[in-house]
Amino acid sequence: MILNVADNIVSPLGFTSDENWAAVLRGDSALALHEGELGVPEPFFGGTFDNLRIDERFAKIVETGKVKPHRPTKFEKIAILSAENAIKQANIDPTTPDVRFVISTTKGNVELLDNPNGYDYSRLYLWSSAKIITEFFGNVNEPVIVSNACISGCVAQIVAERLLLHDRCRYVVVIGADVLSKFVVSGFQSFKSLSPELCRPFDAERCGLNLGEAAATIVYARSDDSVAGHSVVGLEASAICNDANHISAPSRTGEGQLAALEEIRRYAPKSYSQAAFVSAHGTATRYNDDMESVALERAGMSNIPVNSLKGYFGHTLGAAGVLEAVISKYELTEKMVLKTKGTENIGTVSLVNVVMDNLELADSNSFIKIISGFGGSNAALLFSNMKGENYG
Amino acid sequence: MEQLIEELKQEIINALNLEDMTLADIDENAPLFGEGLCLDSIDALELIVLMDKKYGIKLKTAAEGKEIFKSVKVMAEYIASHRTK
Amino acid sequence: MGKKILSYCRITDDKVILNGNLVLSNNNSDLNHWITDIYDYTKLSYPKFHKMDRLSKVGVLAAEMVMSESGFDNDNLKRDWALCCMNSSASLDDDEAYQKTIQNAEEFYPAPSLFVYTLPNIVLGEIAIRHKLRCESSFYVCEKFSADAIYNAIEDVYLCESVRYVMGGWLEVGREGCDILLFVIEESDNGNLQDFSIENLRNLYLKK
Repeated sequence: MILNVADNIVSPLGFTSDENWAAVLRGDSALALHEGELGVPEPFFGGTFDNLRIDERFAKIVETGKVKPHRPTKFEKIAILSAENAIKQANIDPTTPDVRFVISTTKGNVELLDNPNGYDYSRLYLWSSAKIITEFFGNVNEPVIVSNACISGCVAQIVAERLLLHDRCRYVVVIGADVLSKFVVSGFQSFKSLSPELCRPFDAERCGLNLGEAAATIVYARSDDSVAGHSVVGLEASAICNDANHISAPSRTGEGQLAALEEIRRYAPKSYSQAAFVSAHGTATRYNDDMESVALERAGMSNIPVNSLKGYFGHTLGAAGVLEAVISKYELTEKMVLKTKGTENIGTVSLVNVVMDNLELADSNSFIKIISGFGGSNAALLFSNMKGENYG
Repeated sequence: MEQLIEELKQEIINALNLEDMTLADIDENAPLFGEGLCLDSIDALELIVLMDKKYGIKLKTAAEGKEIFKSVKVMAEYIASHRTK
Repeated sequence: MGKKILSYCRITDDKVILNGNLVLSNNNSDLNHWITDIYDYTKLSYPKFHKMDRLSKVGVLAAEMVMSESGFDNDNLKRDWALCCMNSSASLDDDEAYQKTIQNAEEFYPAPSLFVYTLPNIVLGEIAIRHKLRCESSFYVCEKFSADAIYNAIEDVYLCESVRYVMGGWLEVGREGCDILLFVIEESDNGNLQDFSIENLRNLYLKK
């Protein structure tokens, strides 16, 4: 078990985890219609930052950087902003070799391909951005960079778990970040994956996803570490499983997702059986939501409350697994499962108990996070509450 | 129509990287998907791009494509009556 | 018992080395033709291959060789495996190809068959499909080939009790050309096999 010592979300809904949690409790959404933006001819619904607000926020912390980045990109700025606040809260010294950074992203600075804007070509390499981020915090270790499509944010947390359990370091700073660009939006449009309206996860009438931008950070430590003293929620079990079926479509029978769920059940049967809810991927594409419903039913979880956070933030790609783990941590500790915003009539091939109105929980021992993505990837994470009624 | 069918076969071979295929290998009446050419969902999306790029026909959803991509013949007939270039 | 290297494949711009033996040399072909030469050499017949990006093509060919050298078929579902690979440029080679389809507003036809490959983990998806590897797969990015990073990541994968075999390595295709080291690891007491160690990985990568 590794514990979430501190976390932070930077999204269009706010610059701290608390701000983001307050916003989603109110039912706010980052999603809006964008016409003629990013150089994409077709309009799209998405959750995008007000870039001026990022610049304002970044200006306030740039002087604290051990190495001040030269012309940081938007991607680098939001990643640094999210990590700066989390590291401060965790009260750890990121310059010590005891701290490792794990960075999750799908496309980093890819928009520089369209317009180099005076940047060197090398800035397109993910390790180049990662260096700027770790140097800002004066960290001497080589960061681990995860690029595993949409499940990257969850894989990054699994890497953190392994680094800590193998005693490779004392703290892991997991950062997930992605920004929207002509590249990413047009690509999803070419896949006919984007909804022409606000997304409706698990809805019978759902017709695609909305993309979003965000950065989220979680600082993890071993549960027996003193720094973790005040924190309560941790990652208890995890699994990744490839469908071995298709590179862009999930298995219709949910094979990979089911195998990942079975693996975390084997590892932590008690917390698994007491899970209060499932935080699904729920992108609102036909295939993804059907696949998740099938996997959950096959895992015997047709009755467990399930929600998707995509109606609040959109699909934030490399940030999604981290951001959603943080919001769901709040759901668990505040005993309130958020409604699946945008959904009216549930309609998936298998029965799934989608949360339609904010739901108060009687107990809050654990929750399960599931996620899937291109390349046939699936992951399942089990988060437990050490202060939960039945923990241990 | 014959000419359009032959042209379309070549366009499909190019667009979908069907390296081992020749025009004669494609039966214009056979289903494009499910059997025969073993095309998948990405190929269907690539055919939607082909329709737009080559013939100026815009399809909004993958489902629309399903009806039109039944066979090369059906596709050619649709193109003949809907093309804008 | 210890972790052993069952087989390995090294592919560069000018040669293919399989378990220490030079099996193919490049006679001045460019990268695309060189990949076709390797495909022909493996006698693989896999129509899907032609639709892949270059990273997936080279990765699938390397996987084909190491799997067949280690005696694995591609028919049976494999669950007690894991895939763990890294490279430096992620999918930049494909990113550039896709970008060309959206660069000009007048010729704006984003290509889904290119976009799908603009993620480096897709090569692992292709390998998983080909060899029925329904198991963990994860892809990482690292500035340069690092035997330490690959070794440590795979050691960490073995924290999962269900994992017996790991296919791992370095899969780079980009501006600098093609630079592949792919291998299969097994927990084994076979003394004839090389140990899975940082030093051995470094040697396999450097061996001419």
